[in-house]
Amino acid sequence: MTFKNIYNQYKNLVFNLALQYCQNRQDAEEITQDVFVKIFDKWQTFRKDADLKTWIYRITINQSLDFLKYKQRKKRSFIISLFSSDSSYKENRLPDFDHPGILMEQDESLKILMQKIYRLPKNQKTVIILLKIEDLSQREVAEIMKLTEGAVESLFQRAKTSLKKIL
Amino acid sequence: MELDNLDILKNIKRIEVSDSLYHTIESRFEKNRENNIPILKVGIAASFVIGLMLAQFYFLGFSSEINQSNNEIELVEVNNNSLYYE
Repeated sequence: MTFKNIYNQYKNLVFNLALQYCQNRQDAEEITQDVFVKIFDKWQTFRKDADLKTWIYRITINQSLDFLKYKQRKKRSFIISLFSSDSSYKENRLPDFDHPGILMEQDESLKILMQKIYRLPKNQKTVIILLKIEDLSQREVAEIMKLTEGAVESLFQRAKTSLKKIL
Repeated sequence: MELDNLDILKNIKRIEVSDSLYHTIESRFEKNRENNIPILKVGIAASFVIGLMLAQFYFLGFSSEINQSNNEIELVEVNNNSLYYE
């Protein structure tokens, strides 16, 4: 299997999954690039008997979560910059919500729900995205997240409770 | 909004990736390749230099041993006080 084949087969999966995490087209493209560079670099370490799709899901999730962590750090430094006189920090302003898949729907409640999901802890966010947006089965989610099906179910229930608590 | 009904999330449209993205990834590979240090070549060069240094130390040590042995010439004991050619 050539790299181009892998790219063509999984580009939309990677891009859309990244988009659910960062909710911004530009960031999702950046994550997609990073994911495929990582796939290329780590191809030698990939066990050929393992499931390629599961592996790509894991890389994309980790890359997206790392990206969000990096974005949070940038946000913090931006807030600090508001109280500092150095104007160079102000250029780090983060892009706004720009999820084309939701903007196309023109559904305000969907947008609000997605913004709430964005604020969930990373494991709860992942469970909701994989189960409800990617429409994967509980068994598939358990395999991707390296958890038991019971743990996935309990995470999902906790995520729903957290969503209700978020104002 | 009914949060129990998360099925609303299934309405999110799937988005196609732009065609230019593959070229961006390819150019990143090119850049990585240019920035990569050829570790094998650097390794060979480094081991060659280390080998030369070790050889130098070995031969310098060996030649100093020869010099030392040359200096240890037994002196002939002379039992009279007469000078040579006297």
